[in-house]
This record gives sequence, structure tokens and C-alpha cells, in this order.
Amino acid sequence: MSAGQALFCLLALPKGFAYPGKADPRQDVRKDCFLPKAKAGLTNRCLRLGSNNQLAANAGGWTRAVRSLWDSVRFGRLAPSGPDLLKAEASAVTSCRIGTEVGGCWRPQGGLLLSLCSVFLFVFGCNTQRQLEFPLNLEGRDPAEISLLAREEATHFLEELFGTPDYPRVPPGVSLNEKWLQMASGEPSWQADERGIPSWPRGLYRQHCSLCHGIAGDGAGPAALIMDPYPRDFRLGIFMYTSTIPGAKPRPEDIRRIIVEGMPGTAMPAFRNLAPEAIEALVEYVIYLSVRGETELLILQAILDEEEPLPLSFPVKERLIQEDLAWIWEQWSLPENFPDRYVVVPPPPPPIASQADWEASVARGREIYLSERAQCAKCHGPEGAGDGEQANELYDDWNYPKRSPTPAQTAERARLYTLPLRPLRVRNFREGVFRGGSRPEDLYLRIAIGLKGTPMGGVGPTPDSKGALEPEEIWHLVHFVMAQAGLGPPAR
Amino acid sequence: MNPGMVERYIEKKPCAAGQTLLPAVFRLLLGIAVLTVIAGAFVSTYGAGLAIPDWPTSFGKIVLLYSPIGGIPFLPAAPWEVFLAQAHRFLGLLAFGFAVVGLILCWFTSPTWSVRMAAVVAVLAIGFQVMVGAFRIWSGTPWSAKLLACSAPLVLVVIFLSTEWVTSRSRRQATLPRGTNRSARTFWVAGFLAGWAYFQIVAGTQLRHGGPTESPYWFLFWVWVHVLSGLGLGIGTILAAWFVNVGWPGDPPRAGTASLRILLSGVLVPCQVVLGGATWLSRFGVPRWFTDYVASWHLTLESKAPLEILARTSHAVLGIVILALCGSAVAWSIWGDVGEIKTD
Repeated sequence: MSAGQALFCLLALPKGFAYPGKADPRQDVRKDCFLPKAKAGLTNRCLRLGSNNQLAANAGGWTRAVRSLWDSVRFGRLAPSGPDLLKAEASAVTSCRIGTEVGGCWRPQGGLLLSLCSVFLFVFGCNTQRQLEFPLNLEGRDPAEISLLAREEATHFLEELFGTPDYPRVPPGVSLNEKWLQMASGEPSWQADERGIPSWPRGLYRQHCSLCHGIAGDGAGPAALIMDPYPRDFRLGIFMYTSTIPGAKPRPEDIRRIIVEGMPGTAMPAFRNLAPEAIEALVEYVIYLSVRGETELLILQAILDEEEPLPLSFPVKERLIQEDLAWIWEQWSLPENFPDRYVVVPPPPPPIASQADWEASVARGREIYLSERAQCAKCHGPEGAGDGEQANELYDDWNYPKRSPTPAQTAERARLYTLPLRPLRVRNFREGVFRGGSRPEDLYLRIAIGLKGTPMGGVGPTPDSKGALEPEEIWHLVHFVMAQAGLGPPAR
Repeated sequence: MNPGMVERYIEKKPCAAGQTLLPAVFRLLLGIAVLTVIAGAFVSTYGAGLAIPDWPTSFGKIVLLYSPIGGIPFLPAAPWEVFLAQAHRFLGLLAFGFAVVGLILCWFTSPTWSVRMAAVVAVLAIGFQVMVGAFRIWSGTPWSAKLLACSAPLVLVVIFLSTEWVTSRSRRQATLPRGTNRSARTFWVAGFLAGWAYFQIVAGTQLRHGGPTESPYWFLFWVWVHVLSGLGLGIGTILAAWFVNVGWPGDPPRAGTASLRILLSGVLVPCQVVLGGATWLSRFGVPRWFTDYVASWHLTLESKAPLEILARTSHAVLGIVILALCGSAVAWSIWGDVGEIKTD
């Protein structure tokens, strides 16, 4: 719905009900015709209608000229300048229907049609574009300061590399399964094989994901505003719930698990009912959107921040492809190629042989929770109720750039973003809802790795650092959190 | 009322066989039309509107119906979405066929031009909907899906009214005079409710068939409109049902077909509000304005779970049924009932 459409609707709608600047006298005629009252008064009303027309016919020259022009648009001809009252009386009795012309009376159908068209446009819009395009990621940038040439250059280069939502491409140096991308992209439909038998689906992403995550994976789909938290914006290449070390990309397995199991307490559903191929296609497409999004940021940086001359020269494009895009794809490949270094596997938990062991572990976990080493209580509060002293001032990486020093500046800055600023909601363990999963292994990974893109950092050991806590301490912390959530000791 | 009109109705006695066959055909037509609407609701719930990318053929072939499971003779197996889409087309074709049969029967058995016109209108309405459906496939745009979803309820109302007209006129042709119990109050109340119900359907269509590139603020706007209007309609229908059926103290008693339709709407609209809430919960979880109060729900949504399917489909179908009832109430308030109840 564009501003032009809205303006047209607002201007056109009154025409059907305010012609020619006063109430349509035919309203009375219609009422009398529609409900069975004595028809004796009908002729008089039609005559009066005719006399109104007569008055109109005697109006000043410019009024008649305007009215004639209006009539030529509505009827395709000039309307009679005055009624034949004898004909009006005769036709009124036999043709007393809604909207029928009575003698030389004005017909409301033209205005009604115009009103219906304006309502139609308002409700349905007039976007006849069937092939969609990825919108440019101009979050945080003032659109008025970006030239048309810059937009077109960026859009065109991205389309060369990554295609469109209906026809995705795999850029050079990136190893993505094209068949799965075909399945996930496009309009939801089924494709037939050579025998005409529907054999594989298309449009899985648009069917299942785009309502929330948007056509470009920007997390600003049509339904984004009614959700808390916002749907994930894939374009930053950051995913919260992973099994890889801080700073590393997720494994496809991490994305697959979220798609299959959903996220409790959010609007992200579990897609258990989808076929395995469909899930693989969606995983591949999410990675595609993420790689595309990060590449887009670098291209826009080159055009808008580094102010590369436009159109982009071949060396610049080559650099973007051979260095920047290649680096992005390499990051995605590292966890699969070097799992020992990048993937965190929870070690076996300490043995819990009895209730006393459990309570001891929980107590030890509470000590660690309140300690300065872990610093959990600062945000989660002393009892894990999400009421820590810093709980109200936290933002994730998607919302942090929307902030400004003062509320007035933040409100001003908000116009540069699609979705308004929204703070993080610190987890209240007592609710028992853990978005990344509530299994002990899931909780271990959340504590050890942290939540990427949020102020919650990981405290577990990594190949590069010892970490703030030992694995056994992390397990005690997990048991404390489980106890606060009422989950009880894990099954042995 | 002109006595000559009654005499004209009595003189022209229709053929006896047509008296029973014609209403039966139209009642069947109505049943199939309702099934078509239900199938259409399933199609949009499963997002299968474009599952078959061509029309009138299906993947280049002439296929009447698919089967979601294999091994059934004469029915080729196909995925669930394809089966739904083809079933919807098949039922629409069946409805069109019955409408044509009804029209032919009218022409040869019923002398009354209004009954014939009702049959013609039914054929035209279904034909129109078929063409809109074809356009939906050909264009593939979200707004064509919205157009299809907005026209289907009107078509069902037309079929419903045509059926009521044919069956009632057939019953009344030989012996009964035209009804005199018309109610302006019922007319205006029913008309207002029908308009409001249709507005709700249009608002719901914006949410159900929104394109992937629509603005979140546009979606949110329609959410507020749909929810607030739905709550208002729920209260308004209950009040209207009371107002039309009971009225103020001292009003003459009233109960006719139109009033009873509004009474039924007064029962169904609150159910529709509940279904709307179930639709929201099953699709989007707890609304974000309430997560501070109910965040402790261990709610993990599941896509295409039975609850979601049932809630979303029922919500769409019931909305159309309510519109049909209100439209019927409007019509009956004009046609008038045959009975002993006085009008206002």
C-alpha cells in the first residue's frame, strides 16, 4: 500500500457519496422503492428530483461546464441539461430500482464505481509484480542520502551474485546445494517430473518462514511486530543458540535443530511435520540468506562508506568476491572442517547417585552463580528471576545500534530502522522456559558458549582460552538453573 | 399488496416433479458449495493455493481428483497440498455442474421468473468465482489470493439465498400468498451485521493472505482492526439478537426466519471470537502484549499441528457461515415470512 494509493483512495472515496456537493436526492427514492410503502409519493419524489436537476440546469455557466466535463467522464457523453418530467414520471413507476436512471436524473453508479475502486485499491493494493526482489539492507542509513545509482548498483551486483527470491544463484566460491535452494525459493507450489507427476515442492521458505523472517531473512516480515522477541535477522550472520565457540558460525545441525524443535516461549514453531528434504532445503536457504546478507553489508560499505566510484569497477568487484565473500564462506565452513576446534561438546556431567548428590550439586551451583567469576546475578538476579541490577539495560546486536544517548535521539533514530527498539528480556529461570532447549546439554552449551549477539558471554573453556569456569563447575551451574526451573535431577 | 399478484401465483401451477427435484438439487448445490468453501479454507491453511501451478489442467494433464495416499484405483497419488488444491477445484466444478442442472430444471419445471433468475444468478456467481480462481493461478500475486478469498463468501451468500428462494418459492407457489411480515428493524439490524461481518472477512483476508513483502505496520494495523472489530461484532451480534427477537418492553413479539438467523449469529459470533483467539495462539503464540503475564507458559508451537489446522480452518469457514446467515436475514426481512407474527 503506497502513499499514492492511499491518497487516491482518500480523494476518490468521497466522490461516490458527495456528488454534486450535496446529498444525493436519490437516497430517498431508493428507500421508498426498496421498502413497501405507498408508492403514491414516489412520483412526487421523482418530480422533485427532476426539479433539483432543473435547478442544476439553471446554474451558472462555469458550474455547468464543470458538470458537463464530469458527466463526459462518467457517461461518456454530455448529460441532458434538463429533465423531461413526463418521462420521469412514467419511468419512475416501472423502473424503480436501485441506481436506475430516472429521466435525466443523475446516476450514482459512476460515483459508486469510483468508490468501490478506491476501496478495492486500499484493501488489495495494485501490486502486479509477480517476481519479487530482495530489498536492500539500509538499516541505520538515511534513505534520502543514498543515491539511486548507488542503490541500483548494489542491487544489480547482489542479483548477479545471489539471484532473486524466485531464482537464487550460488556465487562463485560458495558450496551450497542448488537443488535445495530451488526447493526453498519461489512461490509455494509443486513441480512435476517428466511424467507430469508432482514430485518436489518449491517455495518452502515463503510458505513457512517469510511471514515472520521476511523475504530477505531480515526478521521484519509482516507479522514481526506482534511477536516478542522479534524474528531472527539472518543478515548479520549471528545465531544465538549454537554449539560452536563464541564468534564462530553455527553448524547446519544447529539451524536444523531450531527448525525441527522450535523455540519454546517464542513464535518460532517446531516443523516436525516437514519431510527431511524440506528441512534440509530450509537449512540451506537460511545459510544462503545469511551469506547474502553479510555480503550485502560489505558491498554497501564499499559503496556508501568507502565511496567506491560507481559503477563498481572490475577490481573492486573481484576484491569483494575473492576476498570478502570468500572470507564469509570460509567462516561457515570452519565448524564443519575443524570440529575439534570450533564445536563444543558437553562433557559427561558429574555423577548424581542420590538426592543428596543432587542437592549438593545445586548448592555448589548457587555459590558459583553468585560468585564474581560467573557474574550471573548481575543480570539474572540473586534468585534467577531475571531481576538483576543490569536487567533493564540490555540489548542484543540487532537492537543495540538503534539506541542513542538520549530518548529523543533514540526516537529520531528509530525512523532509520524498520522495527522499533526493543530491549532484551533477561531469562527468568523460574518460568522454566528456555528458548535454546531445556535439556541439560542445551543449558550447558548456553552457559559455556553464551548467547551470541547478546551481552551474555560464554564462560566455558575454548581452544584459545581457559574460560572463567571449569566444565564441572558449569554442570553445577546447570543443575542450579534446573532446580530453579523446577526441572529436577536429570534422568540417569 | 396487489391481490392480482397472488392470483398470478396461483394460476401457474408448476409440474409436480419439479416441486421436489428442484429444491433437492439446490440443497445439494448448497451442500457442495459449503464443502467447496471448507476445502478452500484448508487450501489456504496449508498454503496450497498455488500447489498446482496451471489451470484448468493439473501439471499439464486433465485430472479430476488426486489421492493423498497411493494404491487407489483411478486416482493418481499426489502430495497432500496437491490433493487439497485439486479437491477444491473438483468441488467447485461439481457445484457449477449442479447449478447448471438446477438452471435447466428451473427452465422446464418452474413457471416463476424469479425462481429462474435465482438459478441464473447461482450459475453466474459460481462461474464468476471459478474465473477468479483461474485468475489467481494465472497471476500468482497475493492480491489475487485476497480477491478470491473476499469473493468466495459473497458467492456462498448468493448460493444460499438462491437456494432459500427456490425452495421457499417452490413450496409457496401453489397455495400460499406472498409473505407480509416484513420488518424494517430486522432489515437494518441484519444489514448492518452483514456489512460488519463482511468487513471482518476482508480484514481477516489481509492477515491470512498477506504477501511476504508487506509492511509489518500494515499487518499490525489489520490485526488491530480485525481483533477490535471482532470483539465489537461479538457484543453487537448478541445485542442485535436480543433487540430483534425480544425488543424493548412493550414491543410486539417477533420471531421469523430473519430474526432466528440473527439469533443464530448471536450464538456463532462469540464462538468465532474464541476460534480467532485459538488461531492466534496456535500460530503466533502468546501475543507480545501479554508475555509479561503469561510468559511462564511452556508453549512450543508446532507448525501444521492439528490444533492449528482446526482453529484456522474453522475460523475461516465459520466467518463465511455467519455472513451467509446475516445475508439471509436481510433477505428474509424483505421477502417476509408466512406466519402469524406481526411486524413492527
